[in-house]
Amino acid sequence: MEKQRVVYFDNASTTPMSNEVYREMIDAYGSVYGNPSSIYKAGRDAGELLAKARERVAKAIGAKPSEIFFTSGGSESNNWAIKGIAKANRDKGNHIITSAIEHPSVLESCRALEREGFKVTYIPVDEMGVIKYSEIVKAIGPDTVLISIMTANNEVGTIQPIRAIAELAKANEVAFHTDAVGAIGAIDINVKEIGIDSLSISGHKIYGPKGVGVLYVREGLKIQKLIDGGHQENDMRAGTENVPAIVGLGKAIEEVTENIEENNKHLRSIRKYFLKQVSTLIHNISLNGHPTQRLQGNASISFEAAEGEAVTVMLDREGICVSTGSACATGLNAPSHVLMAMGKEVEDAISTIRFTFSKYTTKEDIDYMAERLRKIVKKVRSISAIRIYKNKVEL
Amino acid sequence: MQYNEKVLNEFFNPQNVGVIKGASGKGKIVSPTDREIMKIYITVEDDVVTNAMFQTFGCVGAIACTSVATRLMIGKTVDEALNITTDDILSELGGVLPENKMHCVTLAEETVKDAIASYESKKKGIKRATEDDD
Repeated sequence: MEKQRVVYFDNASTTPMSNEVYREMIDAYGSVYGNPSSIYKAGRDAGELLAKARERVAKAIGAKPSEIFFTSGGSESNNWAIKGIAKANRDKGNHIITSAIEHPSVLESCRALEREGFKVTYIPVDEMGVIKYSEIVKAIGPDTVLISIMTANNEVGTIQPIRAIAELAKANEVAFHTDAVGAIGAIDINVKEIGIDSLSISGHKIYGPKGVGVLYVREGLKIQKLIDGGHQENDMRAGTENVPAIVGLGKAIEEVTENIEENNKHLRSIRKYFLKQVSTLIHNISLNGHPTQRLQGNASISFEAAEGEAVTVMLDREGICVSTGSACATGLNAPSHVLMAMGKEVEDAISTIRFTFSKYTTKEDIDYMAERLRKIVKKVRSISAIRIYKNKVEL
Repeated sequence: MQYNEKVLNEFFNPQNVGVIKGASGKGKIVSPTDREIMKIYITVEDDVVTNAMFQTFGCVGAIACTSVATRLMIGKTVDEALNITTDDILSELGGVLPENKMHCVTLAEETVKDAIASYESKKKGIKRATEDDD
């Protein structure tokens, strides 16, 4: 039997690993087994790899190596930043500002703090998924100790005005954290120039390995530890470092940040081609997110009357990988919190598919997908209890 | 969360999709949380369900459950059809759905009951408020 073609359009969930990253990790696995905390040569060798990776990350975001802390991933980084900054600054106040469209690791960290007596303001977004800056201005008070707003949204790709938010935070002497997991490698981020106090990165969204991430912490920022134990990571995060994964993350971030323009050019042309194909073949669809202020690798589309999971499972049988809303959505078939915050109807929110592209995506991948997607949406609509009359949908 | 082969098979090959014009009864249930919609149309002759068709706006589990529900209804008397349980539907689907999809089978059972309630009302000459024309 002929091997089925696999077309992977779910790069916001995780990316395949780059060959260069893989090679450096294999070398690290093969030759370096020491514990970076050990004093003898095997330990020092591991320590050197760690230092090199730290320098690469620092350079990629314009930070100092001493401000880079390795973690187990984006979720840990977000947990650490939010809980750590809030608790370390509790003497100043107990109010946190975040947005309604953050990743669950941010939202749930905030909810955990609410249970401990913190107050949290969840800033709404407009219909394009842009955080309402004026609402942040209104929400800041003397008790505010932290603002955490994501750099770009992982579901609909809208880039947030973090430069203005960072300035606002600084003017009010409030710490500013940003979850940059979906933005690193897609937009140029210099933490010093923008004025970011804390920033989260994940390895596996940038063609690197899973289970490794980074928290950038500006020198002088007050933050509590999340993981207690040994003295690793400058006594800020206990646990023997996952050296090969950290090596991989270091290489991955170097690759993506050195090639931002080239990658964006490719993704822009892929996205344009994709939208042209899909909008020519399928009617009654709507595109979510901001038209220009956006990640080029993301296209979130609502297919009226065609429930998303049904479409996704049929696409899977054709070897096409996509996700409904966000892969991280929790709960009982709950519609995406991001799409709901953007004011979508529930029916449209659950009829949404997120296509996310990578540097490896080709026009042939899109050609393979387009006709299959057309047939599948048609089939799901033929089963649907919602009928479409040309441009009118009837329940 | 993964669907078993029986559920997937029912989903990829749904039975009785569509509308019955001039149906003896029409059931419609909308899930309160995610607005999934199930509709079942039935033809009843001499107190026996001779045909049943469905339309579902919903997930894989919802489509599979409504498809099974219509199959189970056909050939049963109205009273027998009214006694179709969630277990009856589930047993046709390998006995289980992913945990967060279990509400689909309840919705399907409610749609079956609603279709029959619609038939009973019609028989008594009562027009139900929720009835829509097809």
